Amino acid sequence: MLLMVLVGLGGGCGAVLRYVVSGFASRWDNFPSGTLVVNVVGSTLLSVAVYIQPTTSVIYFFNSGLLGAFTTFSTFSYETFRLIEAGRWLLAIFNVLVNLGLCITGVFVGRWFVATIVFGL
Amino acid sequence: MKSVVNFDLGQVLLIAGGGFAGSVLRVLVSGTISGVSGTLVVNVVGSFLLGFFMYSLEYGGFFSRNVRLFVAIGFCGSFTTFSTFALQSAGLDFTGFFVNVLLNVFCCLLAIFAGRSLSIFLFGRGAGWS
Repeated sequence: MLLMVLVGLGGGCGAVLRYVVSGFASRWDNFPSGTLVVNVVGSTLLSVAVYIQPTTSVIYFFNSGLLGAFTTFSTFSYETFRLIEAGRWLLAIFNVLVNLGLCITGVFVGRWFVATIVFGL
Repeated sequence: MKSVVNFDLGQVLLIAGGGFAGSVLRVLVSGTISGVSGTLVVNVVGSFLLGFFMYSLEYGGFFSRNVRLFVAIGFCGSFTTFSTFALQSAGLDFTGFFVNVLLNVFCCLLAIFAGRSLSIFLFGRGAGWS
């Protein structure tokens, strides 16, 4: 029960942070860059947070709550769908590939960071 | 820079409230259906809800801006997750990676389309909020 409250509090913070950060990232030629920024930053930070192996409370608040809510798949899908609907297929495919590519890269960067910088020094 | 973020405390609380509910439900679902399947389920269900909601807002105009903050940005945004999806995908083997990525992307796009279809079926395409 207490752990679920931690998840909820983290999720509340993550959602507000997502709104603020994606609001500051400007839209370039209708490309949804705000969602891209939160997804890449959130995926990288989650990788760091997982491999650093924190305590259970931190995992529920930060990993599951805050970072889970900070990144979003629904808005990513909706924005991609709107690009397809507008006939901008190339931009839609680019949006999917760049989100996937940079977020997966972020996961490896995060893991590398923990292995070499945090535990390596 | 087109958008400038300026909101009051009430709007912050609406987003945070939606984020609270969405995150708790996501963790409860992934506690029931563990691993990549749980993440796929929350992403598809959340995308369907967002698609239904956004098109109802656009075509029907039933919901106010404040409801959008709670449901779309707060709840749906937090119920679905890209970070866990990326982390889980990176841990899979070559085949599993492509299956998981394609399933999430295509099922969520289909879910948006299904939400849009349900909205048009129920409310038509009136002049809504924009």
